[in-house]
Amino acid sequence: MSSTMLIRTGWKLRAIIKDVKKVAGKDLGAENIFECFKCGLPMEPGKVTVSYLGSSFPVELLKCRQCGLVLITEELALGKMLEVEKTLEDK
Amino acid sequence: MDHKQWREYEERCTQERPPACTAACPVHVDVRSFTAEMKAGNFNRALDIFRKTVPFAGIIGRICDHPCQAACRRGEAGDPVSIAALEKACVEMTSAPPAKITLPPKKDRRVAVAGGGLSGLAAAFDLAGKGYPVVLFEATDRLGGGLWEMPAEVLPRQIILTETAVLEQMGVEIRYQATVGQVISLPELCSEYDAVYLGTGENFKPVPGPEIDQAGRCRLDPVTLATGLNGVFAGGGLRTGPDYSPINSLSDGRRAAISIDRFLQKVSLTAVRENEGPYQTRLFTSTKGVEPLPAVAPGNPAQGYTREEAVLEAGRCLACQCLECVKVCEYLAHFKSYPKKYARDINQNLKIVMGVHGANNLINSCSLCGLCREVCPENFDMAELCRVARAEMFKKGKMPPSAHDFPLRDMAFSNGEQCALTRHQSGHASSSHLFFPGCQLSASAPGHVERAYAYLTGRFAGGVGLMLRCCGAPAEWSGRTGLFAAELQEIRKQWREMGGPRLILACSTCYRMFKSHLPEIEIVSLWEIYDQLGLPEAAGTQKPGLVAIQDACTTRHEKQIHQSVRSILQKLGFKIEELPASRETTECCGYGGLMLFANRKLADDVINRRIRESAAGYVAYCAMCRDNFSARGKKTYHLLDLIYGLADFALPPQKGPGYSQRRENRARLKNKLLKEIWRDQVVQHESAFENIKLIMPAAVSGVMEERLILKEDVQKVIEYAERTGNKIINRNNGHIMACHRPVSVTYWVEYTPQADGFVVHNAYSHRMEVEGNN
Repeated sequence: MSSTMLIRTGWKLRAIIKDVKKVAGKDLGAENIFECFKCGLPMEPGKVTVSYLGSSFPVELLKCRQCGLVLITEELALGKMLEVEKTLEDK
Repeated sequence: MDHKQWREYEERCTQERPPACTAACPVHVDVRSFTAEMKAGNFNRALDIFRKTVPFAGIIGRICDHPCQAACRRGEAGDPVSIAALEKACVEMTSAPPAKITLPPKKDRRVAVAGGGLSGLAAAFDLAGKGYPVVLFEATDRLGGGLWEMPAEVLPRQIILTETAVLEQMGVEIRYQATVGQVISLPELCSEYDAVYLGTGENFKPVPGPEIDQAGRCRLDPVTLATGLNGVFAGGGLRTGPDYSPINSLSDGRRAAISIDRFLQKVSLTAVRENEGPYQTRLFTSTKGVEPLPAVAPGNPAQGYTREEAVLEAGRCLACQCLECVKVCEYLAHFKSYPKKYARDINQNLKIVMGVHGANNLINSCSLCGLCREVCPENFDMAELCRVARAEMFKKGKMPPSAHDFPLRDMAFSNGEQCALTRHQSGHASSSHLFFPGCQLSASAPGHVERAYAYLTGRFAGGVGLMLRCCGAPAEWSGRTGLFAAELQEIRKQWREMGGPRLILACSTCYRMFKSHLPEIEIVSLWEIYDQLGLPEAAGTQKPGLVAIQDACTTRHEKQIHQSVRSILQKLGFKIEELPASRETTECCGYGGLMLFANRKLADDVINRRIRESAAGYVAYCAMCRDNFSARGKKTYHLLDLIYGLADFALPPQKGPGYSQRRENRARLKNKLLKEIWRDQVVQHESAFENIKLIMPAAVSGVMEERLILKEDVQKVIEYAERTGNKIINRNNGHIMACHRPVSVTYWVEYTPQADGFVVHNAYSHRMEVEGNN
């Protein structure tokens, strides 16, 4: 993973990140649906660091507590995550 | 480009220049806004606009000698707009009081104004408005001078009195019966006041001081209206002589007031005064296609316009603007402004260090097609600006990676081991010619590459080599200057190794790239060759009909190509319909400049606009034009489809291959030609992922196409997930979710194993890196 840098961004990015957390939170409701194949454990909410173009920040996502595999749903990838990517690209 | 060059570029766009009427008006009334309000029936607002540049609007509105009308562009399509009559209707029918004048704190330097005619009134008005104590010396017992000679039915006496009364409200001291030269001499004025304005009219009896020319007029500096005497300025009838013009007198008074203000503030009298008084505007306004309309005639000419008549007449105003480029370009219209502003935005975008780069999308959305330059009277070229900007963005590390990532990877694939090929003709040790079909024709219709190559080897005796690869256009379009140079260098090197043959190009973009960047290589388009050497005998059964030609934007200046294409179609028996925008002014298909990848929605709009320009089937000689139009439901044929008689006009539009298929087509073309023409043993190394058999519903393929996800991306994810066990199971439906990041994109696939393959339910991607998944 690339070196993490504290993000210094305006309110817009912060608002979006808040949204990402919200959406991620919604996914969390589906925790008992998903299971890590290798570890046989249910995917549980956990702190994950996501990063792009030198900016990193922590979010809560569904992950396997043993191997660390993280689930990114379609809704998150094409919704708020894409929005953050675009915002960072224009920074 | 440095700052000065950017400014010069901005200046080329004339959209912000005033319309001809405003420029011709000595005080620059905003006629366009005025008529717009009149047209909307907002006479009060129209009067406010008029008053902004015209003091004593009630007087001028009734008597203006309207030089604006001679300049009005409406005159090229019917009569000029009756601006003076509209102003008269406005001031007569509007009773709104003028906005209250708030005066600045009084200044201590005093000004004398000699003469209460229009120019003196205007000078006194403006100087008092700036806070100078003004004393106005009037020879008679009333203000207005020559205005009193106007017929009363044109200019009612009461109007002169009420309009000029504003000066007293502004604190101007008026001394009646005070002829300068009698009551007070000019030298006395000069010693008592800090500055003097002489507006005593043409009958002024010269006092010792200002120089007088042979016609008896005061000799003045044309810009500042300064006389030879320090601090003494003059204008109005003194300057113009007997050609009395109310609006010029008003303008003189205002201009002299500017000079006096500057004189008293001890700043330059001459700086930045280019466009005072009447001048020629640079604003370009086309009246092409404007329906000629005569002026609205007032029912009662003595009365002038009624309210309704005035509204109608104002409706004839063309509201002059340029927008020549915006009218013909979906991209320029999409961002809702015009090039001058775009240039400012782009320049600013390049300068930002911290903060949002709001113009990235603007910069990356241009197709670089150059149509704007063709239609602009000043040759403004957005493509040039966007090219420079993209290169600079990339250099500074500020280019959004998502904009061009996919086509650049596609280029790398085309120029990689799997697709690239350079060979002499089989059985030849040298080449007089080298066929360069281009990566998109190879991707879209590899069969055409084979047919064209067979044709060429049959026509030239000196050996026709073949070079399969991409010309590097995506690198150039995406601002990757270094990468583009490397691609060109590779082509140059291989071309030299081939003995420097003449290049035959099937793709307009390649043609453009070679012509601009590899001038040492002699090039010719495939279409010229077909036209000159004769068409092959086609086995097809197509019946010629009417077609409209989609000229390629990258060869808009290549007349010989346009001509060859038309000649070929004629020989084939087709009837040709010329699209309204063709040849030099043709439109891009949405692929140019990588618009399709940087701004999909806009590219769709561009394509939809173009395919609606004619009901006829289109014939294109660029594979991307063909595929883009066909994909949106327009019957479009490649010229090679017609040359080889392969077009079936009865069939609905034939979609081109998707992105995965395009790659496969290129790779297969190389292998097929190697096997069949050069009899090479082709050793194919299959990567593990290629053994992953996919079962893909059409809907999923469509989604992947839209999301720029290749079949091989999905195969790689599944191969990785199945090999490592890194996958997630959805207990509700048994689907597997897995991801893999082979490039700077993470691909997710939702799938289910089935027999010896995998059913793909969904695929999506993100660029963010997720800790734990890498």
